[in-house]
Amino acid sequence: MSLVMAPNNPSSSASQDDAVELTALARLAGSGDPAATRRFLDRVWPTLSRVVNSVLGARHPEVDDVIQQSLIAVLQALSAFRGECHPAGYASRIALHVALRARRNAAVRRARSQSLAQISAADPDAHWPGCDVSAERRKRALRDLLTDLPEEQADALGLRVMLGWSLEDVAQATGAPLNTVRSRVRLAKEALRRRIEADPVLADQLERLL
Amino acid sequence: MNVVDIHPEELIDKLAEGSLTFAERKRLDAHLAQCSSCRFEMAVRGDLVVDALAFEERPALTLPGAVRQERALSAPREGATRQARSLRPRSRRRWPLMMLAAALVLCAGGAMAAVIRGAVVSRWLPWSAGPERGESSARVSATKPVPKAKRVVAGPAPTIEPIASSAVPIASIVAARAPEAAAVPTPVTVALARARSQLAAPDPARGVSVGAPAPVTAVSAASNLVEASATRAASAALFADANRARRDGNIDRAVGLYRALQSRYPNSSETELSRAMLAQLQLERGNPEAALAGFDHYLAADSPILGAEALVGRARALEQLGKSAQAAAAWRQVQSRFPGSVHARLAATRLAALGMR
Repeated sequence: MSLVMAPNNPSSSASQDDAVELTALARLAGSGDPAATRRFLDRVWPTLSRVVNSVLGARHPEVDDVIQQSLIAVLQALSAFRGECHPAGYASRIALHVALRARRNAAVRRARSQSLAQISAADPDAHWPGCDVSAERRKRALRDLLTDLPEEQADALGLRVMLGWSLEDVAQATGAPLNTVRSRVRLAKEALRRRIEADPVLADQLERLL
Repeated sequence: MNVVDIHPEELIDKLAEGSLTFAERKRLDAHLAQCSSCRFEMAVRGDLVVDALAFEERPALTLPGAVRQERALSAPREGATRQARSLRPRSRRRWPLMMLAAALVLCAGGAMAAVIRGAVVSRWLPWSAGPERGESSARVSATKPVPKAKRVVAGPAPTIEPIASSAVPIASIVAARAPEAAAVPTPVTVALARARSQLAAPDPARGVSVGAPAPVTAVSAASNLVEASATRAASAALFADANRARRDGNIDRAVGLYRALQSRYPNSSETELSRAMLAQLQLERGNPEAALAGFDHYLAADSPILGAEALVGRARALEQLGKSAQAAAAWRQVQSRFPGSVHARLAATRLAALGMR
Protein backbone atom coordinates (compact mmCIF):
# COMPACT_ATOMS: atom_id res chain seq x y z
CA MET A 1 0.00 0.00 0.00
CA SER A 2 1.33 3.39 -0.92
CA LEU A 3 1.00 5.63 2.09
CA VAL A 4 0.86 8.76 0.01
CA MET A 5 -0.29 9.16 -3.56
CA ALA A 6 2.62 8.49 -5.88
CA PRO A 7 3.29 11.22 -8.44
CA ASN A 8 2.42 9.28 -11.51
CA ASN A 9 0.59 6.19 -10.55
CA PRO A 10 -3.16 6.61 -10.64
CA SER A 11 -4.10 3.00 -10.10
CA SER A 12 -7.82 3.26 -10.72
CA SER A 13 -10.12 5.31 -12.87
CA ALA A 14 -11.39 6.98 -9.71
CA SER A 15 -7.94 8.16 -8.72
CA GLN A 16 -7.24 9.14 -12.32
CA ASP A 17 -10.40 11.17 -12.27
CA ASP A 18 -9.37 12.65 -8.96
CA ALA A 19 -5.99 13.54 -10.44
CA VAL A 20 -7.67 15.36 -13.31
CA GLU A 21 -9.78 17.43 -10.97
CA LEU A 22 -6.87 18.14 -8.64
CA THR A 23 -4.70 19.11 -11.59
CA ALA A 24 -7.34 21.60 -12.67
CA LEU A 25 -7.48 23.01 -9.17
CA ALA A 26 -3.69 23.20 -9.02
CA ARG A 27 -3.50 25.13 -12.26
CA LEU A 28 -6.27 27.49 -11.25
CA ALA A 29 -4.57 27.99 -7.89
CA GLY A 30 -1.26 28.53 -9.65
CA SER A 31 -2.87 31.27 -11.70
CA GLY A 32 -3.94 33.02 -8.48
CA ASP A 33 -7.57 31.98 -8.10
CA PRO A 34 -8.20 32.23 -4.32
CA ALA A 35 -11.21 29.90 -4.29
CA ALA A 36 -9.28 27.25 -6.20
CA THR A 37 -6.31 27.78 -3.89
CA ARG A 38 -8.49 27.15 -0.90
CA ARG A 39 -10.03 24.02 -2.42
CA PHE A 40 -6.63 22.74 -3.52
CA LEU A 41 -5.19 23.18 -0.03
CA ASP A 42 -8.23 21.49 1.42
CA ARG A 43 -7.57 18.47 -0.78
CA VAL A 44 -3.81 18.17 -0.27
CA TRP A 45 -3.63 19.18 3.36
CA PRO A 46 -4.23 15.68 4.80
CA THR A 47 -1.45 14.33 2.60
CA LEU A 48 0.98 17.05 3.62
CA SER A 49 0.06 16.58 7.25
CA ARG A 50 0.76 12.86 6.98
CA VAL A 51 4.14 13.45 5.34
CA VAL A 52 5.23 16.04 7.88
CA ASN A 53 4.08 13.89 10.80
CA SER A 54 5.95 10.91 9.37
CA VAL A 55 9.18 12.86 9.07
CA LEU A 56 9.03 14.84 12.28
CA GLY A 57 6.96 12.60 14.51
CA ALA A 58 3.49 13.52 15.69
CA ARG A 59 4.75 14.97 18.97
CA HIS A 60 7.35 17.22 17.46
CA PRO A 61 6.69 20.77 18.65
CA GLU A 62 7.16 22.22 15.18
CA VAL A 63 4.70 19.95 13.37
CA ASP A 64 2.05 22.62 12.87
CA ASP A 65 4.59 25.22 11.83
CA VAL A 66 6.18 22.87 9.34
CA ILE A 67 2.81 21.92 7.88
CA GLN A 68 2.14 25.60 7.40
CA GLN A 69 5.57 26.11 5.82
CA SER A 70 4.81 23.19 3.52
CA LEU A 71 1.51 24.75 2.49
CA ILE A 72 3.30 28.00 1.72
CA ALA A 73 5.99 26.19 -0.24
CA VAL A 74 3.36 24.31 -2.22
CA LEU A 75 1.50 27.54 -2.98
CA GLN A 76 4.72 29.17 -4.13
CA ALA A 77 5.58 26.20 -6.32
CA LEU A 78 2.16 25.89 -7.93
CA SER A 79 2.91 28.40 -10.64
CA ALA A 80 5.69 26.06 -11.80
CA PHE A 81 3.46 22.98 -11.71
CA ARG A 82 3.23 21.61 -15.23
CA GLY A 83 0.71 18.88 -14.56
CA GLU A 84 3.10 16.12 -15.48
CA CYS A 85 2.53 14.22 -12.27
CA HIS A 86 -0.16 13.80 -9.65
CA PRO A 87 -0.56 17.11 -7.80
CA ALA A 88 -0.73 15.33 -4.44
CA GLY A 89 2.58 13.64 -5.23
CA TYR A 90 4.06 16.98 -6.24
CA ALA A 91 2.85 18.55 -3.01
CA SER A 92 3.98 15.68 -0.82
CA ARG A 93 7.48 15.78 -2.23
CA ILE A 94 7.67 19.47 -1.40
CA ALA A 95 6.39 18.72 2.09
CA LEU A 96 9.03 16.01 2.50
CA HIS A 97 11.76 18.49 1.62
CA VAL A 98 10.43 21.12 3.97
CA ALA A 99 10.06 18.58 6.81
CA LEU A 100 13.54 17.14 6.29
CA ARG A 101 15.02 20.61 6.29
CA ALA A 102 13.12 21.48 9.46
CA ARG A 103 14.35 18.31 11.12
CA ARG A 104 17.94 19.05 10.16
CA ASN A 105 17.63 22.59 11.48
CA ALA A 106 16.11 21.33 14.71
CA ALA A 107 18.96 18.85 15.11
CA VAL A 108 21.51 21.60 14.60
CA ARG A 109 19.79 23.77 17.17
CA ARG A 110 19.66 20.93 19.66
CA ALA A 111 23.30 20.12 19.09
CA ARG A 112 24.19 23.71 19.82
CA SER A 113 22.23 23.87 23.02
CA GLN A 114 22.98 20.48 24.54
CA SER A 115 24.71 17.23 23.93
CA LEU A 116 22.60 14.72 22.05
CA ALA A 117 23.39 12.21 24.76
CA GLN A 118 21.62 14.37 27.31
CA ILE A 119 18.33 14.53 25.52
CA SER A 120 15.62 14.22 28.12
CA ALA A 121 11.85 14.07 28.23
CA ALA A 122 11.81 17.36 26.34
CA ASP A 123 12.98 15.46 23.29
CA PRO A 124 10.08 15.37 20.84
CA ASP A 125 10.92 11.79 19.92
CA ALA A 126 10.92 10.61 23.52
CA HIS A 127 8.47 7.88 24.42
CA TRP A 128 5.16 8.61 26.03
CA PRO A 129 2.73 6.36 27.92
CA GLY A 130 0.90 3.95 25.67
CA CYS A 131 3.19 4.24 22.69
CA ASP A 132 4.66 1.23 20.93
CA VAL A 133 8.26 1.58 22.10
CA SER A 134 9.68 -0.68 19.38
CA ALA A 135 7.85 1.17 16.64
CA GLU A 136 8.89 4.53 18.04
CA ARG A 137 12.50 3.41 18.19
CA ARG A 138 12.37 2.35 14.55
CA LYS A 139 10.72 5.56 13.42
CA ARG A 140 13.18 7.62 15.38
CA ALA A 141 16.11 5.74 13.87
CA LEU A 142 14.73 6.38 10.40
CA ARG A 143 14.15 10.08 11.08
CA ASP A 144 17.65 10.48 12.48
CA LEU A 145 19.08 8.68 9.50
CA LEU A 146 17.19 10.93 7.08
CA THR A 147 18.55 13.93 8.92
CA ASP A 148 22.13 12.74 8.54
CA LEU A 149 22.10 11.30 5.03
CA PRO A 150 23.14 13.30 1.97
CA GLU A 151 20.11 15.09 0.55
CA GLU A 152 19.65 12.92 -2.55
CA GLN A 153 19.79 9.72 -0.53
CA ALA A 154 17.48 11.10 2.14
CA ASP A 155 15.08 12.17 -0.57
CA ALA A 156 15.07 8.75 -2.22
CA LEU A 157 14.79 6.81 1.04
CA GLY A 158 12.12 9.14 2.43
CA LEU A 159 9.95 8.91 -0.67
CA ARG A 160 10.40 5.16 -0.80
CA VAL A 161 10.05 4.14 2.84
CA MET A 162 8.01 6.95 4.37
CA LEU A 163 5.67 7.56 1.47
CA GLY A 164 5.74 4.02 0.09
CA TRP A 165 6.56 4.98 -3.50
CA SER A 166 8.06 2.55 -6.00
CA LEU A 167 11.53 3.15 -7.44
CA GLU A 168 9.91 4.26 -10.71
CA ASP A 169 7.74 6.77 -8.86
CA VAL A 170 10.78 8.16 -7.05
CA ALA A 171 12.69 8.40 -10.32
CA GLN A 172 9.78 10.20 -11.94
CA ALA A 173 9.42 12.62 -9.04
CA THR A 174 13.11 13.41 -8.65
CA GLY A 175 13.91 13.45 -12.35
CA ALA A 176 16.78 11.02 -11.79
CA PRO A 177 17.39 7.86 -13.82
CA LEU A 178 15.98 4.68 -12.31
CA ASN A 179 19.41 3.15 -11.70
CA THR A 180 20.56 6.30 -9.96
CA VAL A 181 17.60 6.09 -7.63
CA ARG A 182 18.30 2.40 -7.06
CA SER A 183 21.89 3.27 -6.18
CA ARG A 184 20.82 6.05 -3.81
CA VAL A 185 18.43 3.72 -2.01
CA ARG A 186 21.14 1.07 -1.77
CA LEU A 187 23.62 3.53 -0.26
CA ALA A 188 20.99 4.79 2.15
CA LYS A 189 20.26 1.23 3.21
CA GLU A 190 23.94 0.63 3.79
CA ALA A 191 23.98 3.59 6.13
CA LEU A 192 20.84 2.24 7.75
CA ARG A 193 22.46 -1.14 8.31
CA ARG A 194 25.48 0.48 9.96
CA ARG A 195 23.14 2.40 12.21
CA ILE A 196 21.22 -0.74 13.13
CA GLU A 197 24.45 -2.56 13.93
CA ALA A 198 25.50 0.32 16.16
CA ASP A 199 22.27 0.08 18.15
CA PRO A 200 22.07 -3.34 19.88
CA VAL A 201 18.53 -2.77 21.13
CA LEU A 202 17.25 -1.96 17.66
CA ALA A 203 19.19 -4.85 16.15
CA ASP A 204 17.70 -7.18 18.74
CA GLN A 205 14.18 -5.95 17.99
CA LEU A 206 14.71 -6.59 14.30
CA GLU A 207 16.10 -10.05 15.00
CA ARG A 208 12.91 -10.87 16.84
CA LEU A 209 10.86 -9.95 13.79
CA LEU A 210 12.23 -12.98 11.98
CA MET B 1 28.77 -6.33 -3.38
CA ASN B 2 27.24 -9.32 -1.60
CA VAL B 3 23.72 -10.67 -1.71
CA VAL B 4 22.61 -8.43 1.14
CA ASP B 5 23.50 -5.33 -0.89
CA ILE B 6 21.16 -6.31 -3.70
CA HIS B 7 17.86 -5.35 -2.21
CA PRO B 8 14.81 -6.77 -3.95
CA GLU B 9 12.98 -3.45 -4.16
CA GLU B 10 10.54 -4.73 -6.77
CA LEU B 11 9.51 -7.59 -4.49
CA ILE B 12 8.93 -5.15 -1.65
CA ASP B 13 6.72 -3.10 -3.97
CA LYS B 14 4.84 -6.20 -5.04
CA LEU B 15 4.31 -7.18 -1.44
CA ALA B 16 2.91 -3.73 -0.73
CA GLU B 17 0.56 -4.07 -3.70
CA GLY B 18 -0.43 -7.59 -2.65
CA SER B 19 0.70 -9.07 -5.95
CA LEU B 20 3.56 -11.22 -4.71
CA THR B 21 3.61 -14.83 -5.96
CA PHE B 22 4.50 -17.72 -3.69
CA ALA B 23 7.93 -18.12 -5.27
CA GLU B 24 8.62 -14.41 -4.98
CA ARG B 25 7.52 -14.46 -1.38
CA LYS B 26 10.06 -17.19 -0.65
CA ARG B 27 12.81 -15.16 -2.33
CA LEU B 28 11.84 -12.07 -0.34
CA ASP B 29 11.77 -14.00 2.93
CA ALA B 30 15.21 -15.41 2.21
CA HIS B 31 16.54 -11.90 1.68
CA LEU B 32 14.82 -10.53 4.75
CA ALA B 33 16.40 -13.24 6.87
CA GLN B 34 19.82 -11.83 5.98
CA CYS B 35 19.15 -8.12 5.50
CA SER B 36 18.44 -6.07 8.60
CA SER B 37 17.85 -2.86 6.64
CA CYS B 38 15.10 -4.39 4.48
CA ARG B 39 13.59 -5.97 7.58
CA PHE B 40 13.72 -2.54 9.14
CA GLU B 41 12.06 -1.03 6.09
CA MET B 42 9.21 -3.51 6.19
CA ALA B 43 8.68 -2.90 9.90
CA VAL B 44 8.73 0.88 9.55
CA ARG B 45 6.30 0.78 6.67
CA GLY B 46 3.93 -1.14 8.92
CA ASP B 47 4.44 1.40 11.71
CA LEU B 48 3.66 4.27 9.37
CA VAL B 49 0.51 2.59 8.08
CA VAL B 50 -0.70 2.48 11.67
CA ASP B 51 0.16 6.17 12.05
CA ALA B 52 -1.62 6.99 8.80
CA LEU B 53 -4.89 5.78 10.30
CA ALA B 54 -4.74 8.80 12.58
CA PHE B 55 -5.09 11.03 9.53
CA GLU B 56 -8.01 9.27 7.91
CA GLU B 57 -10.52 11.92 8.85
CA ARG B 58 -10.37 14.67 6.26
CA PRO B 59 -10.49 18.20 7.53
CA ALA B 60 -13.25 20.53 6.50
CA LEU B 61 -12.03 23.88 5.27
CA THR B 62 -15.00 25.76 6.58
CA LEU B 63 -15.25 28.78 8.71
CA PRO B 64 -17.40 28.36 11.80
CA GLY B 65 -19.03 31.72 11.21
CA ALA B 66 -19.92 30.83 7.65
CA VAL B 67 -21.31 27.47 8.68
CA ARG B 68 -23.39 29.06 11.37
CA GLN B 69 -24.76 31.64 8.97
CA GLU B 70 -25.68 29.03 6.39
CA ARG B 71 -27.31 26.80 8.97
CA ALA B 72 -29.19 29.65 10.53
CA LEU B 73 -30.59 30.55 7.13
CA SER B 74 -31.55 27.01 6.18
CA ALA B 75 -32.65 25.30 9.39
CA PRO B 76 -32.59 27.43 12.50
CA ARG B 77 -33.58 24.73 14.99
CA GLU B 78 -31.30 22.05 13.72
CA GLY B 79 -28.65 24.68 13.23
CA ALA B 80 -28.67 25.48 16.91
CA THR B 81 -27.67 21.99 17.97
CA ARG B 82 -25.18 21.57 15.17
CA GLN B 83 -23.68 24.93 15.97
CA ALA B 84 -22.96 23.77 19.48
CA ARG B 85 -21.13 20.80 18.02
CA SER B 86 -19.16 22.98 15.65
CA LEU B 87 -17.95 25.09 18.54
CA ARG B 88 -16.20 22.21 20.27
CA PRO B 89 -12.42 22.45 20.40
CA ARG B 90 -11.03 21.52 17.02
CA SER B 91 -8.05 19.37 16.38
CA ARG B 92 -4.88 21.42 16.35
CA ARG B 93 -4.14 19.91 12.98
CA ARG B 94 -6.99 21.91 11.46
CA TRP B 95 -5.73 25.31 12.42
CA PRO B 96 -3.61 26.14 9.38
CA LEU B 97 -6.49 25.81 6.98
CA MET B 98 -8.91 27.50 9.29
CA MET B 99 -6.46 30.33 9.56
CA LEU B 100 -6.17 30.52 5.82
CA ALA B 101 -9.92 30.64 5.44
CA ALA B 102 -10.19 33.21 8.18
CA ALA B 103 -7.46 35.33 6.65
CA LEU B 104 -9.07 35.17 3.25
CA VAL B 105 -12.36 36.30 4.71
CA LEU B 106 -10.62 39.10 6.57
CA CYS B 107 -8.86 40.21 3.39
CA ALA B 108 -12.11 40.08 1.52
CA GLY B 109 -13.97 41.83 4.30
CA GLY B 110 -11.29 44.46 4.52
CA ALA B 111 -11.31 45.09 0.80
CA MET B 112 -15.06 45.30 0.59
CA ALA B 113 -15.30 47.36 3.75
CA ALA B 114 -12.76 49.73 2.27
CA VAL B 115 -14.91 50.09 -0.83
CA ILE B 116 -18.03 50.71 1.15
CA ARG B 117 -16.41 52.84 3.83
CA GLY B 118 -14.26 54.82 1.49
CA ALA B 119 -16.49 55.23 -1.48
CA VAL B 120 -19.92 54.98 0.05
CA VAL B 121 -20.34 55.01 3.78
CA SER B 122 -18.25 57.94 4.82
CA ARG B 123 -19.81 59.98 2.04
CA TRP B 124 -23.46 59.44 2.81
CA LEU B 125 -23.98 58.03 6.26
CA PRO B 126 -25.18 60.60 8.81
CA TRP B 127 -22.12 60.21 11.09
CA SER B 128 -19.70 60.72 8.25
CA ALA B 129 -17.34 63.68 8.18
CA GLY B 130 -19.08 64.59 4.94
CA PRO B 131 -16.32 65.40 2.50
CA GLU B 132 -17.11 67.56 -0.43
CA ARG B 133 -18.10 66.00 -3.68
CA GLY B 134 -15.30 65.64 -6.13
CA GLU B 135 -12.79 64.58 -3.53
CA SER B 136 -10.84 61.52 -4.39
CA SER B 137 -11.83 58.29 -2.75
CA ALA B 138 -8.36 58.18 -1.18
CA ARG B 139 -9.03 61.43 0.65
CA VAL B 140 -12.46 60.26 1.59
CA SER B 141 -11.19 57.05 3.12
CA ALA B 142 -8.44 58.95 4.94
CA THR B 143 -11.04 61.00 6.77
CA LYS B 144 -13.37 58.20 7.64
CA PRO B 145 -14.00 57.47 11.32
CA VAL B 146 -12.56 54.01 11.80
CA PRO B 147 -14.65 52.82 14.76
CA LYS B 148 -17.87 53.64 12.96
CA ALA B 149 -16.84 51.86 9.82
CA LYS B 150 -16.17 48.66 11.77
CA ARG B 151 -19.90 48.26 12.09
CA VAL B 152 -20.11 47.28 8.45
CA VAL B 153 -18.21 44.04 9.00
CA ALA B 154 -19.12 43.48 12.61
CA GLY B 155 -20.73 40.10 11.86
CA PRO B 156 -17.91 37.70 11.14
CA ALA B 157 -15.04 39.65 12.66
CA PRO B 158 -15.15 38.56 16.33
CA THR B 159 -15.03 34.90 15.40
CA ILE B 160 -11.96 35.07 13.22
CA GLU B 161 -9.82 37.92 14.48
CA PRO B 162 -7.77 35.95 17.03
CA ILE B 163 -7.06 33.14 14.59
CA ALA B 164 -6.17 35.36 11.69
CA SER B 165 -3.49 37.21 13.56
CA SER B 166 -1.10 34.28 13.25
CA ALA B 167 -2.13 33.33 9.74
CA VAL B 168 -0.19 36.07 8.06
CA PRO B 169 2.19 34.04 5.87
CA ILE B 170 -0.34 32.03 3.87
CA ALA B 171 -2.86 34.81 3.83
CA SER B 172 -0.32 37.28 2.55
CA ILE B 173 0.79 34.90 -0.17
CA VAL B 174 -2.74 34.25 -1.30
CA ALA B 175 -3.65 37.90 -1.07
CA ALA B 176 -0.55 38.99 -2.94
CA ARG B 177 -1.13 36.50 -5.70
CA ALA B 178 -4.83 37.15 -5.86
CA PRO B 179 -5.89 40.65 -5.06
CA GLU B 180 -9.42 39.68 -6.03
CA ALA B 181 -9.63 37.63 -2.85
CA ALA B 182 -12.68 39.69 -2.09
CA ALA B 183 -14.63 37.04 -3.95
CA VAL B 184 -14.53 34.69 -0.96
CA PRO B 185 -18.08 33.71 -0.20
CA THR B 186 -20.67 33.75 2.46
CA PRO B 187 -19.82 35.99 5.43
CA VAL B 188 -18.52 38.84 3.32
CA THR B 189 -21.33 38.56 0.85
CA VAL B 190 -23.89 38.61 3.59
CA ALA B 191 -22.24 41.53 5.34
CA LEU B 192 -22.05 43.50 2.12
CA ALA B 193 -25.61 42.71 1.22
CA ARG B 194 -26.62 43.97 4.62
CA ALA B 195 -24.59 47.12 4.15
CA ARG B 196 -26.07 47.64 0.73
CA SER B 197 -29.60 47.28 2.02
CA GLN B 198 -28.81 49.77 4.78
CA LEU B 199 -27.55 52.22 2.23
CA ALA B 200 -30.53 51.80 0.01
CA ALA B 201 -33.06 52.11 2.84
CA PRO B 202 -34.70 55.47 3.59
CA ASP B 203 -32.96 57.42 6.33
CA PRO B 204 -35.59 58.57 8.83
CA ALA B 205 -33.31 61.24 10.27
CA ARG B 206 -32.94 62.92 6.92
CA GLY B 207 -36.26 61.96 5.56
CA VAL B 208 -34.68 61.01 2.28
CA SER B 209 -33.24 57.93 0.81
CA VAL B 210 -29.51 57.90 1.47
CA GLY B 211 -28.95 55.79 -1.57
CA ALA B 212 -30.37 58.26 -4.08
CA PRO B 213 -29.77 59.90 -6.42
CA ALA B 214 -26.21 61.33 -6.56
CA PRO B 215 -24.35 58.30 -5.19
CA VAL B 216 -25.95 56.00 -7.72
CA THR B 217 -22.70 55.22 -9.55
CA ALA B 218 -20.82 54.33 -6.39
CA VAL B 219 -23.69 52.28 -5.04
CA SER B 220 -24.07 50.45 -8.29
CA ALA B 221 -20.32 49.81 -8.36
CA ALA B 222 -20.50 48.30 -4.90
CA SER B 223 -23.64 46.48 -5.95
CA ASN B 224 -21.89 45.04 -8.96
CA LEU B 225 -19.06 43.85 -6.78
CA VAL B 226 -21.50 42.17 -4.46
CA GLU B 227 -23.35 40.54 -7.33
CA ALA B 228 -20.15 39.32 -8.95
CA SER B 229 -18.94 37.98 -5.64
CA ALA B 230 -22.22 36.19 -5.00
CA THR B 231 -22.24 34.72 -8.51
CA ARG B 232 -18.71 33.42 -8.18
CA ALA B 233 -19.47 31.92 -4.80
CA ALA B 234 -22.64 30.23 -6.06
CA SER B 235 -20.90 28.93 -9.16
CA ALA B 236 -18.01 27.57 -7.11
CA ALA B 237 -20.41 25.96 -4.64
CA LEU B 238 -22.36 24.25 -7.41
CA PHE B 239 -19.15 23.01 -8.99
CA ALA B 240 -17.96 21.68 -5.64
CA ASP B 241 -21.29 19.90 -5.10
CA ALA B 242 -21.03 18.30 -8.52
CA ASN B 243 -17.48 17.15 -7.87
CA ARG B 244 -18.48 15.75 -4.51
CA ALA B 245 -21.34 13.82 -6.07
CA ARG B 246 -18.98 12.46 -8.72
CA ARG B 247 -16.43 11.37 -6.13
CA ASP B 248 -19.18 9.71 -4.11
CA GLY B 249 -20.16 7.71 -7.19
CA ASN B 250 -23.47 9.52 -7.57
CA ILE B 251 -22.92 10.03 -11.28
CA ASP B 252 -26.50 10.97 -12.21
CA ARG B 253 -26.52 13.73 -9.65
CA ALA B 254 -23.07 14.89 -10.73
CA VAL B 255 -24.18 15.07 -14.37
CA GLY B 256 -27.28 17.02 -13.36
CA LEU B 257 -25.29 19.46 -11.29
CA TYR B 258 -22.69 20.03 -14.02
CA ARG B 259 -25.51 20.74 -16.47
CA ALA B 260 -27.20 23.06 -14.00
CA LEU B 261 -23.91 24.90 -13.55
CA GLN B 262 -23.51 25.30 -17.29
CA SER B 263 -27.02 26.65 -17.77
CA ARG B 264 -27.04 28.97 -14.74
CA TYR B 265 -23.54 30.38 -14.94
CA PRO B 266 -22.47 29.99 -18.57
CA ASN B 267 -19.55 32.42 -18.27
CA SER B 268 -17.95 31.21 -15.05
CA SER B 269 -14.56 29.52 -14.97
CA GLU B 270 -16.18 26.57 -13.18
CA THR B 271 -18.55 26.10 -16.10
CA GLU B 272 -15.61 25.93 -18.46
CA LEU B 273 -13.98 23.23 -16.35
CA SER B 274 -17.24 21.40 -15.93
CA ARG B 275 -17.43 20.80 -19.69
CA ALA B 276 -14.31 18.65 -19.51
CA MET B 277 -15.48 16.90 -16.33
CA LEU B 278 -18.91 16.18 -17.81
CA ALA B 279 -17.37 14.89 -21.03
CA GLN B 280 -15.13 12.60 -18.99
CA LEU B 281 -18.15 11.23 -17.15
CA GLN B 282 -19.97 10.68 -20.40
CA LEU B 283 -16.99 8.84 -21.79
CA GLU B 284 -16.85 6.58 -18.75
CA ARG B 285 -20.58 5.90 -19.03
CA GLY B 286 -20.19 4.67 -22.60
CA ASN B 287 -21.46 7.72 -24.42
CA PRO B 288 -18.47 8.62 -26.61
CA GLU B 289 -20.51 10.81 -28.99
CA ALA B 290 -21.58 13.17 -26.23
CA ALA B 291 -18.12 12.99 -24.68
CA LEU B 292 -16.46 13.90 -27.97
CA ALA B 293 -18.78 16.87 -28.41
CA GLY B 294 -18.05 17.96 -24.83
CA PHE B 295 -14.28 17.70 -25.24
CA ASP B 296 -14.42 19.58 -28.57
CA HIS B 297 -16.48 22.31 -26.94
CA TYR B 298 -14.03 22.54 -24.09
CA LEU B 299 -10.96 22.54 -26.34
CA ALA B 300 -12.42 25.36 -28.42
CA ALA B 301 -11.72 27.73 -25.52
CA ASP B 302 -8.45 29.67 -25.39
CA SER B 303 -5.72 27.79 -23.48
CA PRO B 304 -8.03 25.45 -21.58
CA ILE B 305 -6.65 24.47 -18.21
CA LEU B 306 -7.38 20.79 -18.74
CA GLY B 307 -6.18 20.88 -22.33
CA ALA B 308 -3.99 17.79 -22.07
CA GLU B 309 -6.63 15.78 -20.27
CA ALA B 310 -9.32 16.87 -22.73
CA LEU B 311 -7.17 15.90 -25.70
CA VAL B 312 -6.62 12.48 -24.14
CA GLY B 313 -10.35 12.14 -23.54
CA ARG B 314 -11.05 13.16 -27.11
CA ALA B 315 -8.66 10.53 -28.44
CA ARG B 316 -10.26 7.89 -26.23
CA ALA B 317 -13.73 8.90 -27.39
CA LEU B 318 -12.63 8.59 -31.02
CA GLU B 319 -11.21 5.16 -30.28
CA GLN B 320 -14.48 4.07 -28.71
CA LEU B 321 -16.33 5.31 -31.77
CA GLY B 322 -14.11 3.09 -33.93
CA LYS B 323 -12.54 6.06 -35.72
CA SER B 324 -9.00 4.71 -35.58
CA ALA B 325 -7.41 7.15 -37.99
CA GLN B 326 -8.87 10.16 -36.22
CA ALA B 327 -7.97 8.66 -32.85
CA ALA B 328 -4.38 8.18 -33.98
CA ALA B 329 -4.28 11.79 -35.14
CA ALA B 330 -5.63 12.89 -31.77
CA TRP B 331 -3.01 10.83 -29.91
CA ARG B 332 -0.28 12.35 -32.09
CA GLN B 333 -1.64 15.76 -31.19
CA VAL B 334 -1.25 14.82 -27.53
CA GLN B 335 2.36 13.81 -28.20
CA SER B 336 3.21 16.97 -30.09
CA ARG B 337 1.52 19.40 -27.71
CA PHE B 338 2.60 17.80 -24.45
CA PRO B 339 5.92 16.09 -25.13
CA GLY B 340 7.58 14.39 -22.18
CA SER B 341 4.36 14.30 -20.19
CA VAL B 342 2.58 11.25 -18.84
CA HIS B 343 -0.05 11.89 -21.49
CA ALA B 344 2.57 11.62 -24.24
CA ARG B 345 3.66 8.25 -22.88
CA LEU B 346 0.06 7.10 -22.81
CA ALA B 347 -0.32 8.35 -26.39
CA ALA B 348 2.69 6.29 -27.45
CA THR B 349 1.14 3.21 -25.87
CA ARG B 350 -2.19 3.79 -27.57
CA LEU B 351 -0.57 4.47 -30.93
CA ALA B 352 1.32 1.22 -30.61
CA ALA B 353 -1.92 -0.57 -29.76
CA LEU B 354 -3.53 0.98 -32.81
CA GLY B 355 -0.59 -0.23 -34.89
CA MET B 356 0.47 3.32 -35.74
CA ARG B 357 3.63 3.92 -33.77
